[in-house]
Amino acid sequence: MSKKVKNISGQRLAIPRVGVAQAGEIITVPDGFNNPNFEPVKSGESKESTTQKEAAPKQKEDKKNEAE
Amino acid sequence: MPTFLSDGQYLAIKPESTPGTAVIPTIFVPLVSESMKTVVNHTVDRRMKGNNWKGNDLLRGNRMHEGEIVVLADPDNLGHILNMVMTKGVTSGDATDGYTHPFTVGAGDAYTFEISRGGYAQRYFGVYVEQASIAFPDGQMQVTLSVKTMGQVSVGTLGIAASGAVTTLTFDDTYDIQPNRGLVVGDVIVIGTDELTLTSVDSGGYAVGFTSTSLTYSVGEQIYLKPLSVTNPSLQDPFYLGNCLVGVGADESAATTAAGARSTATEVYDLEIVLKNNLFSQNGSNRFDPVQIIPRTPEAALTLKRLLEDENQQTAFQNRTKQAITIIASGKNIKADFSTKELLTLKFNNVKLIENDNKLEVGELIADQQSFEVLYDESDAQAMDASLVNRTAGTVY
Repeated sequence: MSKKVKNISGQRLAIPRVGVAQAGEIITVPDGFNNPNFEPVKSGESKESTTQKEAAPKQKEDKKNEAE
Repeated sequence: MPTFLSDGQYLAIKPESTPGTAVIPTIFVPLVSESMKTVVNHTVDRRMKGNNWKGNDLLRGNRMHEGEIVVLADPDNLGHILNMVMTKGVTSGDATDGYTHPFTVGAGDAYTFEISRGGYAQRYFGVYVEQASIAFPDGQMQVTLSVKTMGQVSVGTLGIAASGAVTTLTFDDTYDIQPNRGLVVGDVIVIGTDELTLTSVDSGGYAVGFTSTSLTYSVGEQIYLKPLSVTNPSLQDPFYLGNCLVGVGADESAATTAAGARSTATEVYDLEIVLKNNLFSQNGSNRFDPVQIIPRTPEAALTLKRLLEDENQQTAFQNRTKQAITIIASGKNIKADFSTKELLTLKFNNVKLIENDNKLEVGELIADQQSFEVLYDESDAQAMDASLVNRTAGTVY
């Protein structure tokens, strides 16, 4: 499970095991992501960035590794 | 059984708008080490009740929450450290040129610190710095903060059974009669297999609220604060001893001039700066935790090592001669044309030698190994000040 969140910190942030989110960028994160520098985004509210698309395969890889 | 590696944890901090009232921290500061702990002061219940044993239970004692935080001092997190130790003035500058933050002697801000301890987060609120020690192991500026805090929240247990669609949970009062203290709206707490985002924290001290959720848990079920997901800003290098210029002069003006160029700066081979706030932190009525934490008389000390060149410093030691020291640490350039850079300036207006050793050791050059007491300077009407240029806007502090 994953969800979309928006970086509201005003700065570029690196998220371990997810990727990088520029200021204002919307990215996809695992469902349990819990960070006050991001706010949830309702589906269709805004287009997802390319960064998040790069991050998505990494999350799948992590989940696969966890399962192993 | 799960295991947790320290490397995967975090320290997150944020200044508190109201000292002692927790906030959800947003600033992640990479840790070198930490030893924060809650000293609960449990004592054995020694009341005589016919048992042939020392005691059959523990009683509560007054609590303290304290320890050390060790971090590398990069220009951005050093701003927070100075903001905890000194009083920040008005920030000038902008993102292009860098922000300049002035600091003067005075009370620092209270912070909320949150440390992930693997399975749960431990949040300390009302965090004050007792002492900041700035040193250069491996040539990197490292700060050891000795802190005292007004309380902590981390784990608890359910006080009233929950069943069906519920909107509140009530904490047990075994640890404290205000067990929800330190929780904040927006926090995520975990009970059993459920995660709940808080929409309210009851002022009565026991309950927390959330959107209606179907839960079935018995009294005693464990509840804990869920660790945050780490987000790291662009980390800058720490300040380095190799990029520091130390100016020594008869007064602040002369010392600052001396620190202005390599040719006039004094070469030091070891340097440590200790800023101390001598906090009043005492247990009393109202709470098991420190009731309030208040800075008392500030003080500072410098230790440094320089090669012996002449008898001047020994004379200054014996005669208690006033000197001034300005330390300027440079970092990376900020502006694209390299006209501004990360810059820490520490000015000590009146320092006198407490110790000046010229030890003889086989095969070694003789050094002035010096300990200075930082004194109030009546001419300059201050003991010290600091200025920091970095990439962090003043509104963050």
